[in-house]
Amino acid sequence: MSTIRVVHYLNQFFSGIGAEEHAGLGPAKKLGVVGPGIALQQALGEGAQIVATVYCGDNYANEQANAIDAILALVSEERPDILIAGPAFASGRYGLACGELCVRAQDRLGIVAVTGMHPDNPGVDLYRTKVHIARTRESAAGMSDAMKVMAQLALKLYARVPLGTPQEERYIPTGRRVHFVAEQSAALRAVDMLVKKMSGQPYATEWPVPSYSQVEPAPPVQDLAHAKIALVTTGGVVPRGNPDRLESAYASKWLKYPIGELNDLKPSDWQSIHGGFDTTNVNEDPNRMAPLDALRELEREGAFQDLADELYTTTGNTAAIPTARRFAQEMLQELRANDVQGVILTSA
Amino acid sequence: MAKELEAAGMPVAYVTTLDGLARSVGAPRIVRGKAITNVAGDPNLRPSDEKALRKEIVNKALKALTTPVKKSTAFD
Amino acid sequence: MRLEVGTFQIRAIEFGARTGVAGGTLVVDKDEVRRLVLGDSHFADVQVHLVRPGENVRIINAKDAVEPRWKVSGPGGVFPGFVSAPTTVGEGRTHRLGGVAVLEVAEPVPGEQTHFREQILDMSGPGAEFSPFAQTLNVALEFTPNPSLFPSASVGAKDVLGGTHEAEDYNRATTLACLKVAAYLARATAEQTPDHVETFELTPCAPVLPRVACLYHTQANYLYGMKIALPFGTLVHPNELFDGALVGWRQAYRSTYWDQNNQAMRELYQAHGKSVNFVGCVLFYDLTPEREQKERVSSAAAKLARLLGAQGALLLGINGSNYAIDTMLAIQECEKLGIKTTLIYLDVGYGPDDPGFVHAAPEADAIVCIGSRDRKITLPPTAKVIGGQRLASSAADPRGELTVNQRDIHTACSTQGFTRQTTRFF
Repeated sequence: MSTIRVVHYLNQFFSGIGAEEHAGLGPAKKLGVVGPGIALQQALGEGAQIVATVYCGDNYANEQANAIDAILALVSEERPDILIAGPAFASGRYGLACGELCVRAQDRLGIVAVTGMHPDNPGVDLYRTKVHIARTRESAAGMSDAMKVMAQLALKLYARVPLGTPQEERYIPTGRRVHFVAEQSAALRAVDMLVKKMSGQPYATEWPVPSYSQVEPAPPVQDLAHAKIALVTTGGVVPRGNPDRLESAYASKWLKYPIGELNDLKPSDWQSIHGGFDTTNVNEDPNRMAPLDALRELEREGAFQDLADELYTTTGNTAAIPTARRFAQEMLQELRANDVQGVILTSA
Repeated sequence: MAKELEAAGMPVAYVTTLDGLARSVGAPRIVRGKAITNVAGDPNLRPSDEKALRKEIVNKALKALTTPVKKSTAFD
Repeated sequence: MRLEVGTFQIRAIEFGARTGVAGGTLVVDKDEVRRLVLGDSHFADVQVHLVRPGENVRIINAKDAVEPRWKVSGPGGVFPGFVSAPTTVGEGRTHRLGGVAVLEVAEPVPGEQTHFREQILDMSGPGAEFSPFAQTLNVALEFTPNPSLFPSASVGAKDVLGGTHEAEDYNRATTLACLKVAAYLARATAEQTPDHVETFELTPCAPVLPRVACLYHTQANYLYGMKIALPFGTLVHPNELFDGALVGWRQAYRSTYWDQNNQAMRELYQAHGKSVNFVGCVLFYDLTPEREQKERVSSAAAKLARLLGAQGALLLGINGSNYAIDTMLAIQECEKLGIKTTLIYLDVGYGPDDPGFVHAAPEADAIVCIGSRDRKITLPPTAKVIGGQRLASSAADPRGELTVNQRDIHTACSTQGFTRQTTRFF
């Protein structure tokens, strides 16, 4: 039985090169373990060996074209059976690099690839459905635990042993659904679960509710009277006839429409095409979803300086999180370019 | 989207009826709307009363923008 | 309230000269059934089909399913407000024909709400695994409306979810017809002795046992014959449901049959005196997008559980766009009162990125999943179709191979508790 070959990926910091000032470092490789790789090797045990460690600066990995491919090439040279990236904990750029690298390793090299992140890492929303991400603590204080979880996941995946639930195996839910017929009726399972819960015994939900990452709120607008505000809606408000064909669900885009000359949104000119709620009331008076009339009044009264000349609109109906994030990023560029300091975002 | 903008430093007053959902999702500044079908209005009111309601909701939104928050906060 | 339910277990059905039960066989007098139905001028015709498990038959446009029951003693009668006076039921003795269902089969009429209208019942093949009525001997009533009721083929309904008044009225008529037939079939056993008798009574039990209520988030059904919202909730004894107090098919999923045989309540009865003290049932619902009303509804539902002294609540939830919020708010309100909750719920996710909740509260930490609404199932071609020429929501040939969602299969997505279909999330 030959030893399983493992390559470990690290960023500039964990590979010991240096901190932020070295984030522009290009991809490189060392044989054997580097830094926290020691803990990973211990967690992997005897049947698997870290044959090499590939590392790269987080900025380079995220910003340079072909960076991930270049890293992948170094990984590929070692003919690994498994790639383990990170863990990235809550580090966004590191997480994105790990996620993308793992996806490509799976797709292009056909190998097992596993990484580790804290649930708040932006890489989670983007990659959890494509790659198994071990759930880690926020910082390197959780290193040895993270290594254990990643190692176990990787070895199980390699041996094609079916994984348990995300709760049991401590990875972030991938959204993959398995359907089957249970031994007992839903009613019996529910009564049993309730009895356990009431008596303080341990019980396991069949279906965990999503836990959402928390973000650091932005600082408030300092001087509202001299600030520019933008109106954004996910209520699908568009000019009558929906000239740009905004979808009523699963929006693939966001749009902007000039409102600089308008004092309100007239029902003859605007409508909502949102498919997730009864739009009758909004179609009677679109200000009910995009309150332009009230904003103009407050603008005139001096509550704030200026309303952005454009209404930003999309449908929030079942938008996947990665899509919503992309929209926000794109809108942000425009908002900043137009000196917008605060956003009023309306939805159903 | 609200969270993404906030994380990037742009304060967002999120006006929604589903404030419980907004809170569990973690949107930082939440302004509670009237109803799913008319978040910033109410067809049952007289037009003048409805406009006053809408202005009140927008005012709360503006207040949310100028208030520092640490975690998901509802502005009533 | 003490209810004895006497079962006549039926193993075969056939048409014959006189309706009756003997030796496990139900004989159905087709002419009498037709007379019973056609006494109502809503109908131009009704076809009566006997459909059995394993047959190569596909029933489309299936709506409600009702178990034949007849009250032989005790106050009131079955299906109060429809077949009997609308007075409180749940006591005495009721006969049931076990293993039989009367099916309401009707194409959508003009003005009828068509949201989630598709309901396909395959009596054999892969589809049969998803619907409990593939295992029952079915008396399928296929209704043809009186054409004078619907002069125009296309009608715009203002109420997207409710449909026009004419369509509502017709739907009530088909519901009533099924209930009448179900009662009529069971009535034939009135003088006979059942195969076995089950007793349902919430007897006093040891004070140490935790008090549990069932919180049933219903959906625009008829209660004692009245279609009425329940924003402040109402208390019912489970026996009332066993006698058919809650009936009607609304927007897919539930059926009257599985309230007559409500498994959540039966399991609570089973556990009563052993691991729980089952204290009763709260029905609640309103169809409202208004935040304040949702707060009102959920708070009231939790309050009723509290007044019952509940320490735990088993919720039968609705994971639909509007209702999901109310279900979750009710859970939160209960948990705030110290009432521990579990929930029977349907996954409505569209793909891996979609966690499957319209709305999720962190307090909903004990969920039993009954499967995924949009799971794809391929149904093979079938030899015979009953229920119309067309499917409700697609132009595909109903006789051919169909790829459908789990929600399109008759009652496959019900949270009444009987199903063993489930989904796990990896």
